[in-house]
Amino acid sequence: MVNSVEMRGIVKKFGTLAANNNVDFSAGKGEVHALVGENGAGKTTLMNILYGVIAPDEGSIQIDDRKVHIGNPAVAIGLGIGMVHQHFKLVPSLSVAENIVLGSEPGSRGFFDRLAAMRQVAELADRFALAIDPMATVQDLPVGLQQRVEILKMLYREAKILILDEPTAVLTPQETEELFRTVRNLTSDGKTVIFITHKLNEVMKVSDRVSVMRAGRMVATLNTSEISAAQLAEKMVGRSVLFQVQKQPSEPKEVLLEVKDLRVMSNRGLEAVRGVSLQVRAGEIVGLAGVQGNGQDELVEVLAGLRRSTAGDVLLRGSSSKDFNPRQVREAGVAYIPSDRIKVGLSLDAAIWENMLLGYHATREFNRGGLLDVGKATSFARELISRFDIRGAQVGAPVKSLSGGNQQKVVLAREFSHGRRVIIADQPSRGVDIGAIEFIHKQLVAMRDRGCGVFLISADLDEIFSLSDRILVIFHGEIMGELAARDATVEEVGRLMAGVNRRGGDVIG
Amino acid sequence: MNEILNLGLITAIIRVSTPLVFAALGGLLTFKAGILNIAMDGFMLVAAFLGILTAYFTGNLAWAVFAAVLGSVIMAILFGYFNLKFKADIFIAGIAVGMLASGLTAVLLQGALGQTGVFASSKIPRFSQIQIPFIDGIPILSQLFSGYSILVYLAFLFTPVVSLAMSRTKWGLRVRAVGENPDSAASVGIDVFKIKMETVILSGFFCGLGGAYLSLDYVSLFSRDMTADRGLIALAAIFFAQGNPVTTIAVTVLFGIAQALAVRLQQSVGIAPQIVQVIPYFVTMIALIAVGFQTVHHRKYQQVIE
Repeated sequence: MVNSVEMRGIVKKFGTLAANNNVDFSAGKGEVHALVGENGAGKTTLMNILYGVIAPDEGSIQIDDRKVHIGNPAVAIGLGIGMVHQHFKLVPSLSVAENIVLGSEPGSRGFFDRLAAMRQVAELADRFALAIDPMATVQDLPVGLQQRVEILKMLYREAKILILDEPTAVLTPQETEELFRTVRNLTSDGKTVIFITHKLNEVMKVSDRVSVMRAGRMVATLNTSEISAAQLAEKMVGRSVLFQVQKQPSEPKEVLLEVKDLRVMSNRGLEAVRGVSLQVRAGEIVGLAGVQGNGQDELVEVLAGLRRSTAGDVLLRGSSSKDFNPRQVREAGVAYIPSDRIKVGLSLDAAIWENMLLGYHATREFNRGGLLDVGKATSFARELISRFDIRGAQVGAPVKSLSGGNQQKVVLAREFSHGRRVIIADQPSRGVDIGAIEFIHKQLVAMRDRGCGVFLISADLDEIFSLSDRILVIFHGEIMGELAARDATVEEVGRLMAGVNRRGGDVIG
Repeated sequence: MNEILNLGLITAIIRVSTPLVFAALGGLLTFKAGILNIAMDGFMLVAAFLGILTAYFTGNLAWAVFAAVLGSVIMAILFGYFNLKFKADIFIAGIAVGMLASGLTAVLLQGALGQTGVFASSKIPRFSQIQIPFIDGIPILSQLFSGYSILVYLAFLFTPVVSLAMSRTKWGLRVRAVGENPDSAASVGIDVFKIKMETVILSGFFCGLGGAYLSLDYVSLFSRDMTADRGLIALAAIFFAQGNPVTTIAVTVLFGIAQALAVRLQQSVGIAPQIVQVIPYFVTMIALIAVGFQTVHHRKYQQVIE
């Protein structure tokens, strides 16, 4: 096979940490090459080096057997390398065509030829069978189509090597299937696709070869057909991973959290939650599946006291908590793990013990004579650090000195340590490594077994399936269906996530 | 009533609006590039001073306008570097440039011209009044549209130019992309710093013309802090128009109407000057409240159509 990308001996150090430690990587012309590894394994660093975003300390890069120096993304684009970032780099108010041609617009003497842009984009879309309306405004498009715009943007620049950074994170299962078809179209056209992911089933499904990174090193490069997902996982973490969290069947008891016909407005003034009703009982985990942006955020914010509902009610152990502020919600026994630990869950510059104290700083337990009892708070924090296995943590160090997974454990430690009965876990394992995911999942199950009611919101179906006792699916602010986790299939949940109508017997409306 | 509403009023409106139009054109470009340009008063003030200074010493208006624009552009580069290169907060950068302009002109007013508050001189030449050939003979039209200085015509001629540059050129597209999502622009190889700096420099250019107009044409004198927050008022007009060039200019003219009327009312009815001076700010405030309501209404409307 002809190698279109060849990276040799790549070294990149951030301080003393080697993000890439003597990494070799190559991808052949016309292949789908999956690049897998835990968060922080160095995949994104490696690809940012290839795309000219980061300069390597050592190592060489060859594109089509020619040694190149990629000093910035413009050089990479010139060499036919394109990258679709995890967070799209689109300008929302511009049209599809304008976004695609931006930076190399058609037209003469400085004028922008809008018609030519539309025509070129339409032709391009036609050629690669990527149907899209060039005149549509990007902000009106669903996420799957926005991603398509990103891919077309690369193709417009005649990219031969396409880097897709976790492209399926924001897609429905159906959109994912379409993306896979697109990827195959591209490779049959002779393009190279580098597919960064941590979802192993996708690797198995779409890739020809797979490279595994761990802790800054390239562990293996293999033909996908010669390896199983479990073996791959083992290579990723260096030990075998429990994919399915061990848990007993649930024994649901009394209703702890009840949502009744709740309606909530989004920031844009649109109705984001449209009449949601649900119950969470003691001793069960209820999973809410759905593509991001279907009202989950607004729903969770109401439950956490961060947003007002416009109609309906939220009952905590039978009594209304409507219009509670966050403090009242907490006092009513609700633990809240926000999806964005950096913005909502933690104060990054504050010390670990301070973060663990947040929300209890005014309690009698941690105060003496009107002042904080620092000694007690720090010894409490020390205990939590060992109980939650927070690695590399010094009570007095700022939270930002920890890795993402350990930061999340700080949130967990705080929320799970004060006898809360209702747990609202919004994307609890977002952006953490597999080891930490396992730990977080075990903790959630342990809390369930101790009689808590857990409401889990996640866009990750693996997480929903491995933890939930019951699964609810939200689409466009409405609950599309409820399934018992042991009977549910990914296809069924996927259909509901895409808003396809509920279908007969196995869905309880 | 006739003393207030006559052809002279229209002339007054055009003259009062001109500096606002210049500031608005400059502010529009930076607004589109995602920069909150609160330093325009500083740019204009330096321009106004250098205009008078150069006119006084050279007796040449072309040099005066050139010096004014140059001074304003230098202030703009300073502002751009503070904010874009050294990453100073935009408010700190804006206030710094504003204070520098105010202090510098005050010191130089005394140092170079020996005055503490106001400087005027008969040695300062006046702009000639341009008569537009085709409408020269027509009674009302010639009174309305003939007889202004070159700067007034420039202000209104630049309006469609800026509008077209924004909507029809590659550069305009890039400015809009940079303003809305700099990451996206950078990822396709657009130099974000360069584009932003270009808009800042152009805002310096337009404010330079505005400042020159203020001191050399509008009043023919320099007084301390004579821009009287026109830069901020122009910024309010831009926000009111949500960055649409033609609407922005229409709104600045609306502000001009309020101000011109106020002056007339003061002369003929005898309203206290303190109240009159409040009018431009008051109109600005009303305009911004209107924007707020409009935005809320727009959201409700969107909801209905969904």
